[in-house]
Amino acid sequence: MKTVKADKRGFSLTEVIVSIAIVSIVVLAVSSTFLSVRRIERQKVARENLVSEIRNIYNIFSSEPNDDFISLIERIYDVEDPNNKTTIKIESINDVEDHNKETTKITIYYNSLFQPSETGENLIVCYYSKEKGNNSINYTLKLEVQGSYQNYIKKEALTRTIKVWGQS
Amino acid sequence: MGPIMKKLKSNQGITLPFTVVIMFFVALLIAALVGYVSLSYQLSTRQIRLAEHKIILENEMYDYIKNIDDIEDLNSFPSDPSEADFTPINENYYIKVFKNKVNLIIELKEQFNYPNVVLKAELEFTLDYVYSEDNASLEIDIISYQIKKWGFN
Repeated sequence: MKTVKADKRGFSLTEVIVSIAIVSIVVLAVSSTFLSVRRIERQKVARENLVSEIRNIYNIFSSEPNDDFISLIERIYDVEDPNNKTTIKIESINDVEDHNKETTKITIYYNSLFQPSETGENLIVCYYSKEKGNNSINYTLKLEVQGSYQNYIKKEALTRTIKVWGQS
Repeated sequence: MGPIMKKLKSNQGITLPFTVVIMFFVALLIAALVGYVSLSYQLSTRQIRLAEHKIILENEMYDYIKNIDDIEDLNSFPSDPSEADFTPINENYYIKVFKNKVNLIIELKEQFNYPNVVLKAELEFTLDYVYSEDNASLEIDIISYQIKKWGFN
C-alpha cells in the first residue's frame, strides 16, 4: 500500500529542477558544439575561397600582364546587378615621385565567405603598376587583403612582378 | 503482487543506467563531431598552406626571370643538365637552371617545409640584333621570351 501511495505522488520539485538543469546542460553543450562547428566550417570555406581568389587573380595577371589585364579583370568581376551595385572599383593613382611608374588601384568586394559581392565585408585591393625599363616593362601586381583575414596570407604570396621584353 | 510490481516499475521514470547510456551516446556524438571538424580543419589548413606555397614559388620564379637581363646572363647557364644542381638564391629557396638546346629550364623549390614541391619552367628566349649605345653597334640580345612549360612536379 505504501508503494501505491508513492506512485501517485508524481515528481517532486527537486527532481524537476535537477532534470531541467541536466537537460539544459546537455542542450547547451550540443547547441554550442553545433554553433562552433558551423563557425569553423564557415572560416574554412572563407580561407579556401580567399586563397583560391588570390590564385585566380594571379592567373589572370600571368596570362595578360600588359594593359589588357585591367579590362580582363573588370570583365570577369563586374557582375551585372539590378541595383547598379558593383563588385569591383577601378581608379588611377598618380605617383608624384616616379613619373615612369603608373599605378591602378583595383578593389574587389567580397562577402564574409570571400565570394564576390557588393556587401564588401572583405576586400582584396590590387595595386597594378608598370615600370618602364630600357627594352622592357616590369608589370607588378601587389595584393592587399582587408577584413577578417588580412593577416592570414604570407606577404611573399602577395606580390608578383612579370617582366615583358620588347616594350618600352 | 504481480500487477502492482509491474505498475511500480513502469512509473519509476528514467533509470540511472538508461540515463548513463543516453549521456554516453550524446557525448560520443559531440566527440565525433568535434573530431571530424578538427580533422577536416587541419586537412584544409594543410591544403591551403600548400596552395599558398605554390603561389609563393610562382612569385619567386617570376622574380628570378625578371633578373635575367641580357645574353651574358643566358650564356652563363650550363648546357649540360648534369652540371646543374640546386643552389640557394636566398635563405629559403633553391634553384637549378640549365639550357636545353634553345630553351632555358628552371627548377625552383623550398628546401625546408616543402622540399618535394618543385616548380619547373621552360622558357624559350628569342634573340635578335639590338642596337647597343655603349658600343654604337648592333649586338645579339634578348628581345622576348615565351613560357613553353610551367607546372609543379
